[in-house]
Order: sequence, then structure tokens, then C-alpha cells
Amino acid sequence: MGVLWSLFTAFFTIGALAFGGGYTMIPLIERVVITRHAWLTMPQFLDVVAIAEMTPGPIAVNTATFVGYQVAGWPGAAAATMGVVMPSLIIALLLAGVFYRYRALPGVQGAAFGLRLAVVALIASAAVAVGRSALLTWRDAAVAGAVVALIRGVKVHPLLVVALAALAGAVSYLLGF
Amino acid sequence: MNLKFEITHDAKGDQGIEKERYKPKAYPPLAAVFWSFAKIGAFMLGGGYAMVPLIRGELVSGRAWLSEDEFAEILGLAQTAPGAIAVNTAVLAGFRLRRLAGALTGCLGVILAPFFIILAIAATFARLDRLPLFKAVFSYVRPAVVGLIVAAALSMARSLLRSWLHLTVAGGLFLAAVALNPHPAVLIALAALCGYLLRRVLPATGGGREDEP
Repeated sequence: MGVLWSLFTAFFTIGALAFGGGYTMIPLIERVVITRHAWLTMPQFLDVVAIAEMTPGPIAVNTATFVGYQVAGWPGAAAATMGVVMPSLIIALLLAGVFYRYRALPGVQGAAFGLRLAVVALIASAAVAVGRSALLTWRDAAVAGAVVALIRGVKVHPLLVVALAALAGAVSYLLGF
Repeated sequence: MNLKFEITHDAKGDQGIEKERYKPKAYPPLAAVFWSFAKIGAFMLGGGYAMVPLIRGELVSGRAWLSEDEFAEILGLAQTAPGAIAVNTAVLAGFRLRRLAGALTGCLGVILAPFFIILAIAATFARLDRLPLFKAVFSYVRPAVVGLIVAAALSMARSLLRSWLHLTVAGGLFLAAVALNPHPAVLIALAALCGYLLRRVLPATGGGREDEP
């Protein structure tokens, strides 16, 4: 029980303090999991992050599940995952409650307007940032371009695009190029 | 914007303050909310903003449960809260659709597949990241995710930037984001504050949209 509780509280802290999502959460996870609790060694931790990257789902949640399992089996995985998700649940619920309660007020409408423009800007800048790091060859650029054309032109569902890309990768491997 | 407002007059306040309740445009069954978020969770490869096109494809262009404006607001709010952005987005979108029950359902749905996949990998010590097959798969998935994010950015810009003012402000914020790389929450908070002040200084002049300064 002691281990499960410390898994829960450690990952609760991570979920509550890591702002920005994704990779910005990794240094905090590292500090808690390696430095404070010594649940994993550094090479093990790097393996966990590599696996978390290659499986679906948020990286923080995947890491929590993995570390929890390593430390205390599936109950540990459940405790750590619940811990990392709980602060999101509480804080996002409070945010949603307040925002939708006052959404119709003029001031809040103004704030929502500014927020929407910032989101468009952020997603466009994210496209530039991931493009820089993920489009390394002409083939990468061709795949990305084909996806944009597919989505914009034929209105294919994004989930299908991910599945097709994975299939294309598997086929290219099996055919040997 | 096709949002419905239910206007009720507060009986106690004699100043005639209108209390508007912001109602969702859709009221989907919880099972459908769960299934949507379970699919998003299962296909959410690539991390970070990779989930944006998936959630948008499922909730905005697929099911039409949320308007483009609402989706952008949810994404913005999700980044001002701590924790995984996909989980925050699921909680906020779930709440928008079905209040507390929807928030819990969305949250559970989005972590379901990742949880069991990681559990299976951890239990079998399968080193997927070292298999050449998975490397090949990811060499296609990664650029495809870039394409998805670009397409989502284009669609969102097209439906959200409705005037030269919008285009100019969003363009300025974009350049600031690329050049200065600020924390997303900071950019969002500043933009929201500016929108709030703009609306305060220039109250609705009557001509524009109800929702914009």
C-alpha cells in the first residue's frame, strides 16, 4: 500500500506542476522518478521515454503507466496513471465550469476572441516546429504534402490517415525499401 | 456562429441583468463520447500537437458536436492548465458536451488504449522502439502527422480568421510564437487579456458579431 500511495502522490505532483504538456513534462518526471525515488536508472528511463514516444497516448500518461508497472505491477500502473491524470481532471473541470458559466459576459467574449486567435497562431507555429524536426528528407516532405492534399481535397478522416501512414511504413519495410 | 443562447432574466435583480446560459449545440450519448475519445487515444501517435487534428477530425469535422470556435477555445484553455494537453482537452470537451459525466467519460476514453498498450509492453518487455519494422512505420507516421497538423492549421485559420483584423493579429502572434518561442500558456493568457481589454475599451458597436470586439 505504501508504494502505491507514493506512486500516486509522486505522479500527482508531476501532473499538477508540469505546464505545457508533452516533452516539457519529461525533466520533472526525471527528477521525481530517478532523483527522488530511484524507481528507475537513467538508461531505463530513456528506454521508457522512447517507448512512450512510439505508442499512442500522452507521453506523461504513458511514462506514468510504465514506471508504475515496473515498480508495483498493474496496481502500480493504475495508481501512477490515476495520479498523473487527477490534477488535469480537477483543474480542467474547474476551468470549464467557470468559463462556460461566464461565457456570455462581454468581457469573457472578448477574452475568448483573443484566445482563439492565439490558438490558431500556436498551431501554425507548432506545424513549423514539428516540420523542422520531422521533415528531414524529400520523402518525408512528399508524405506530409500528400497528407495535406488528401485532407484538404478529399476530406479523409485524420484517424484513417494515421492508420494508412503506419500501413505504408510497414509495407515499405516488408518490401525492403 | 451558430450557438444557441438561452436568455433568462434574473428575477431577483431589478437592474435587469441578463443571465445568459451558454448551451452546447449537441447533446451526444455518453457511449458515443467515450467511443470518440477512445479512438483518439488509440491513434494519438507522435505526442504534443499531434492530437489536435485527431480531436478536431472527430469532434468538429466528423461529428459536428463542437463549432470551430468552441474547439479553439477548448484547446486554448487546455494549454493554460497543467498536465497532458490531450487529457485536459478531453476533460474540457467532455464537459462542454455532457457536463461532469462527459468530462469523466472523455478523460477515461482518451487514456484507455494507451494504458493497456503500455501495460502489455511493460509486461512482455517488448522493445518496439528497437524493432526495424516500427522504425519504418514511424518514418511514415511522423511526416504524416506534420501534414495533419498543417492541414488542421489551414482549416482553423480559414474558419476562425474572418477579417483583416483577425488575420493581422493572428499573423503577429504567429511570428511572435515562431521567433520568441514563448510558453503557450503565456501567449494565450496575453491574447485573452488583450481581447478582454479591447472589449472593455470598445464595447460592442452594434455592427459586428456578437462574440467579437
